[in-house]
Amino acid sequence: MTSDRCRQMHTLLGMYALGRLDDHEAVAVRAHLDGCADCRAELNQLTPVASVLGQADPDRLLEPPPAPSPALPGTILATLDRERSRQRHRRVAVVAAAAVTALGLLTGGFFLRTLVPSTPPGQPVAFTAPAAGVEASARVENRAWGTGISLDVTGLPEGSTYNVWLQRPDGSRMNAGSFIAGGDRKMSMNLAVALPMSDATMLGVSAPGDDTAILQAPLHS
Amino acid sequence: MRLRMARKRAEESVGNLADNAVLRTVYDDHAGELFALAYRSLGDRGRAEEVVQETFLRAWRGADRYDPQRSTVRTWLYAICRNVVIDASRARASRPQLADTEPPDVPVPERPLEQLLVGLQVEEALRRLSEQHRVVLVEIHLRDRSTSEVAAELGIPVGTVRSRVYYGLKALKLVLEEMGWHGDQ
Repeated sequence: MTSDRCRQMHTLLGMYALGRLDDHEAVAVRAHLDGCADCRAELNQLTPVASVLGQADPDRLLEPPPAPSPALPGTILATLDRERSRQRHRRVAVVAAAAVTALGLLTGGFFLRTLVPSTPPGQPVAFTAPAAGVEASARVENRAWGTGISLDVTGLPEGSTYNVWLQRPDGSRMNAGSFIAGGDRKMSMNLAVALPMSDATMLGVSAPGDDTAILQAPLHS
Repeated sequence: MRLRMARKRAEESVGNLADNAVLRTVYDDHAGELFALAYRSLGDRGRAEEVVQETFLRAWRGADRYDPQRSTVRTWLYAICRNVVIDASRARASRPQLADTEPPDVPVPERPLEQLLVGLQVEEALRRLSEQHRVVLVEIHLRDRSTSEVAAELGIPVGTVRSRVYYGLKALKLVLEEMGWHGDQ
């Protein structure tokens, strides 16, 4: 039963759980708790929360929580799409390998290399004249939802942000996402653009706010 | 209400992560927090995004092992994400580091990942509290200020501040529980 005294006590229980009452008040709370199972139960509810509260960093609370780039869900879906097709290939390869084994028993096995291809997904594109020290390679893949791009870049200034885009024949561009360059560290990423590959003529990378392409590769779809 | 039902469906059909719509709902609900954990742990946006991506990939591969009776989607994804972060930290530890490049929030022996994770969860929960409740908990407990000082600043009686601390803790507990916390982490 919650009495008026208990209700009054509740005002102090939060402070008590946090260890923020002075000695005099803490003694009064303990005296009440000794004789009141309801308030003890109430305190037991608060204690675990009070004990983890101190692990929060008040300064971090003022910062907006960090958010992933808006392109990430597209990248994840593209990766899963690739994983699915890899699983399909694997299944096909298993069936093919079984067929080869059967055939191999009959013919000596020289079909093996030709029957189990190991091409990575997508077709490679070539970047024209990258700046000195910059290395980039990319593969593009036509997907039901648009174009999947896997891009590896090394040698762009560490910490700088870059946009990746596909360009249409009329020169307009569709953003594929952005990345932060890692200097000498190779940055590998998968990007997704809701533009059919046949509608794109160029894959490019540029600094935000500057249309000049730092890297560009023509697409031959 | 409709949103809650959609969430519920996502919770039940997470075994069906192969469905892009389910995946997208799960992503919208949880990717922000997973990213925050990875970012605070590794101090690098690109690597944090890789961690989130790897988490979803592992979740997708292991979706048939997810049991809604045993954990919420959130705690399940957190568990996967934690493993990916640990793998990523180990991979980095095996590479030479330049002096002064270590970001401040990297889990170190004195601040293990579990503790960092709890801190992040509490911060996320505090963000979801009402301003009234958040202010008193932050000022009094996290910034170690006196009740009378906070009361004067807010222009309310000391008793009201104390009562807000009590209701704030209760609200925080509810939010944390909604986020999959059970006081044992």
